[in-house]
Amino acid sequence: MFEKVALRLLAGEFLCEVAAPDSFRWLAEEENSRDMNEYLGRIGRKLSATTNQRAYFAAWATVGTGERADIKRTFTAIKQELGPAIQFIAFCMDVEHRDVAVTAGDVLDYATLLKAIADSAHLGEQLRLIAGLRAEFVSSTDGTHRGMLDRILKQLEKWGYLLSSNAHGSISYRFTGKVDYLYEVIEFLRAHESGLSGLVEREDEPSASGSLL
Amino acid sequence: MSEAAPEENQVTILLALLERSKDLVAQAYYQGRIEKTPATAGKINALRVRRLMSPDVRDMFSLHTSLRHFLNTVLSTERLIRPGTDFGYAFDSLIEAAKLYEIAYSENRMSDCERYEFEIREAICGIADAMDAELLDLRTKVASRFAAVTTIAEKRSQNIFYQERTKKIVDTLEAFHFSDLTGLLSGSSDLTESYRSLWLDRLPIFRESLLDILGTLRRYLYEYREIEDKARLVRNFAQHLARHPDWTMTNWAEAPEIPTWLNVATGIALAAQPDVNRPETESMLVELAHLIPAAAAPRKEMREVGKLQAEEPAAPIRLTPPVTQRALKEFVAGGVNSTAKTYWQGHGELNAEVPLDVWLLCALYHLDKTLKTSQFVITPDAAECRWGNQRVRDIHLVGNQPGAGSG
Repeated sequence: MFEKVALRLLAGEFLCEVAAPDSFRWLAEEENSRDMNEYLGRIGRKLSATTNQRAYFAAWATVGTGERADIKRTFTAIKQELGPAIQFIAFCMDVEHRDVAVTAGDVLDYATLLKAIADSAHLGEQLRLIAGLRAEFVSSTDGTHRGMLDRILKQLEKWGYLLSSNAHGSISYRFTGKVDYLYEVIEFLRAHESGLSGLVEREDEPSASGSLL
Repeated sequence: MSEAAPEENQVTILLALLERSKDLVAQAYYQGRIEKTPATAGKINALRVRRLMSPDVRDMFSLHTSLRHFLNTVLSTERLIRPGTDFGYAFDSLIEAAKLYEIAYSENRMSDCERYEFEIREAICGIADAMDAELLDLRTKVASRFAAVTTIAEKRSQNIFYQERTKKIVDTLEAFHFSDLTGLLSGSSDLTESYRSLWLDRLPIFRESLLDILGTLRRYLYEYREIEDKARLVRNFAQHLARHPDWTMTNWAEAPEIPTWLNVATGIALAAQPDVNRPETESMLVELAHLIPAAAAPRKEMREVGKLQAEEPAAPIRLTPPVTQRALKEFVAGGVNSTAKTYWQGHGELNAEVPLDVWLLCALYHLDKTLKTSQFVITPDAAECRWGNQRVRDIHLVGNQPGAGSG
């Protein structure tokens, strides 16, 4: 298991209960995570995890000049993924009338998504706006809602936020632990970007939230 | 065979009535109420007499609350809000019965004592069963994080409701623990034993479970706030992006202190090579080699060892120049005073393949490259001169004449 987990971490994967259940459970054992951290430390890396410990990944042990170039690449990737991924998560919340943000393991039923889009002009428009955010979501030959949805889902799967399954002919997707990483990014931006400080303000009970959190 | 006591006959009669009306009871349980029709009127009336059914609106009837509670408990039916037992009232009733028992015992009224003993034992069993049911229901609700309701607001409301209820039960248990019930029941060893084994011994476990549930409920309430904030953050950020499509984040990769989230090691593309020197991998490599399909190599006849084989000389490759190229050479070789148009008209092979205007352009390009401008004259189309460009009508080869040449 050590070798399998090490290879996946070195390949840049996020290991969570959804994407890699065995590896995730193995890493959740304190002794195993310590071993892995020691091993990664010998090659300039360290074992890192999201704040809620729902996804593990390899991080740089120290950030020097050499690592800066890689970090710039990571930043560019996040910058490109952030908008479409967050817009899609908000879209899924609208489809399912949820007041809860999606978490790792939440299921997206493809047929339900398509039906909801077909039944609501507003959702169709929302999907079209998301599809306009990235060149990969657009096709000159297929401008249907189904085509747009397929391309968005495929790209999110490629980025590691979704995992598809096709059980008994029914297609569904599950959110991976990488969504928690995405939430950490926007939480950081809310705290540090000047224009985003009011993103979690409550209209009704501002003082209560302050005291509890 | 002994005959059943009159009270036992009552139970048999009641169960027989339920057996006869089972379809109606099931229908009323799952549908909430049933309509009284000529066909069902008799059974409904019989159930009403036994207080198993109560009138609802108009001609509708529903199950009596006690029967509904019983069915909910034995079927573990999930309810949004479970009407729990009033433990305070149950304990007060038990203490009252124990006091009456003590008085009857002191006055030596043995038949009353027996009646009170029965009541007290039933009350203790009732409280213990109710506590079991309460704990099971609370645990189920807590484990599913109030799955029966969908929104966070509803979950939070249910959480607060059950938190208050759990707290009240814990307080009642503590008050009950310090009551003098053991002293009141000390007249009967049987009652004391029942009270101890059914209730007192289990009390610390009940209390611990309730406090554990209370702690979990309090933790959930805190988590709900976090979940709500996360959902709000996602929605508001998505709205911000939709309203400000040109918004870009600060270049955090250039910040002196790299944010934690940005510290993700880039993936490495790994490729492994087999170690052919290790004998233990040989069989595996042979297996892999067998899986590789054979390449379709061209068959080549091999020379016999010790024999010389004469090689056949390669056939020479002859290139035939294109018609235009041959015609241009011939036209230039034709000498002075020949015209390109006349040459084209006189050669069928050429005019069949190349139109006149193309031929003239080819000839002009060739002459421009190979001769001096004084050695040929272009005849333009007089009608198109005014446009600035000249259409070539013909080209004359003239030799070295001073003043002659193309424009």
